[in-house]
Amino acid sequence: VTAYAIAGLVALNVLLLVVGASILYALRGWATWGELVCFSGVAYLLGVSATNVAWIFELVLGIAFGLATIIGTAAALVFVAFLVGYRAGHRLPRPRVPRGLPGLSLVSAVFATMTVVYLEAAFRAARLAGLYEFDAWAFWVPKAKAIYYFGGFDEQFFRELINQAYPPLVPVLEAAAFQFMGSPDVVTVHLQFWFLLVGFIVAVVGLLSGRVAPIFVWPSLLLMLVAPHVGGHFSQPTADFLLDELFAVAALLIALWLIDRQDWQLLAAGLLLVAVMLTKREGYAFAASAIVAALVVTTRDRRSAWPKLITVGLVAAAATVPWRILLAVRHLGGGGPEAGGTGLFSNLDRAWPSFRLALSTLFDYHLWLIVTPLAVVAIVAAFAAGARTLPLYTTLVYVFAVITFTYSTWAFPSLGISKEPALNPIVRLTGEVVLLTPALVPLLLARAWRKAPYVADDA
Amino acid sequence: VNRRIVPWALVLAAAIGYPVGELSAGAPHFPARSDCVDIAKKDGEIEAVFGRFDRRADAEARLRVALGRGFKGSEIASDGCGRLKVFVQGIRTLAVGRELAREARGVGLHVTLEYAAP
Repeated sequence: VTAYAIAGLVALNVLLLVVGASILYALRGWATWGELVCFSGVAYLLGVSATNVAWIFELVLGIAFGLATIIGTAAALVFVAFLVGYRAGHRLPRPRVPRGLPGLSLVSAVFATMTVVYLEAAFRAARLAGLYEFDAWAFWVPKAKAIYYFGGFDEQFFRELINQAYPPLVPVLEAAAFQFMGSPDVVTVHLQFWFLLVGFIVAVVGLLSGRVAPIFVWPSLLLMLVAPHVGGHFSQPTADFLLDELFAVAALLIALWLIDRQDWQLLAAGLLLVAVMLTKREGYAFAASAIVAALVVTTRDRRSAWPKLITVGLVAAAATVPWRILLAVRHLGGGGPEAGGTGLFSNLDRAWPSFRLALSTLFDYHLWLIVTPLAVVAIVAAFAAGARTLPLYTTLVYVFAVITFTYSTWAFPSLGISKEPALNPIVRLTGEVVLLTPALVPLLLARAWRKAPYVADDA
Repeated sequence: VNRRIVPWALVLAAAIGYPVGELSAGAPHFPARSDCVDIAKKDGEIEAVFGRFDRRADAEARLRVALGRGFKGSEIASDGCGRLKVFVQGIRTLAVGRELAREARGVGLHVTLEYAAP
């Protein structure tokens, strides 16, 4: 039964990859098949975003969610994307037998070996993981089961659950996984989150390879992977890690757009940001932080940059409106803060402890090792080397993240000032910065290292 | 040897070697109901279990038998694996447990001595 379920999950993720590859074809095409392999991680995450956003639209409209809907939607996305790509002048390269293996440095090989072994061990752990995380069994997975059994957002069932208004991307993805596994297998579903982690790693490596020396890419990636909280929680069927993975790649694409100004990077980031906002409520704050940071660092060429950034941000936010309308129609709370707005002033005594909690969690060695200090060092080094755009963009994204973390405790007086997961979700929230680090730090370190051969000059 | 092959060979060797090494010790074991039975081998928090049952009615029938034959501390509780166990708890030593098991056999009841669930 487990082998059948795993095979089903593999099929689902191949489907997501195919959809994502077609979207990549629409956005930029690829000159060689090797280039597609290089961008396969980004393609996969684009596929996850596009299909899930489309499925959410369909569920909001009341279209029954089953295998036919899942596959039919994916097929439609592939067809439309290839049509758009073809009209844009992109052509598939001729298949050619490669003359030899692509180059792989010894540094890349050593760290890739460790990463592969880590992922294999993570696969074993995820394959038999139990549904123990409170949020997972209390509402994320029950929502997915409801979609699987009832074929939609069952009004009564969703109303009875806690956190009804949480964005639905993860339950929809889990429900699709259940369909492909043939049953609501709450153990094997953990593997879906393993696939997402692999997609994230391949996306970061693919986007940075050829641009940043491997010595800057792999160590920070491996450092993030071996952080205690990552290893112990990435496969939980909740929304936190998917949110961070999608956002980190979106923020990296925006950073690359700041350097290259290739429109496909911004469009891809926009699609990922839609998924970010439909994954968790704080996704709105994360998406806004990346867009605002990019706006700030492009002040000098605002006439060309701002319209694009603002359009991407607004369109991405608009894509979440159907879900918000459904919440309004069903009179479900939007899930706002307990003490937002003026409520913050009546809880002023929580401001400093909330800020201190956010910072101490980010720098907690027992949770995240030295990932955050590494990011700080990389930012300082890049500034010291004379770069401005990238380090300022990264600094702003990180500062906005700390503000978001502080607000998340300050505006919810029922949360304790504590890292205890049962009292405060601050540890899960800070994963944003930790997963951003392997995406942005290699660019900063490469910029700081003046003799780096692949440095993109953003000064 | 082509220099390009060496780094790829390193990755491939690890990718194949690690799972092969792990699987050589056997396939991963998924916890089964039998894993809920932890037979006592030395002193500790021991329970004398008169049986496990899927249906509450069957468990209650066994409880009545145990109580009727003199095991006054008998009770029913979930065993954590989806079944109900009829048992006596609070046995501190294996010697006391074996004495209880001998008495049970004397009145036609089978008992297993197990460690209490943590």
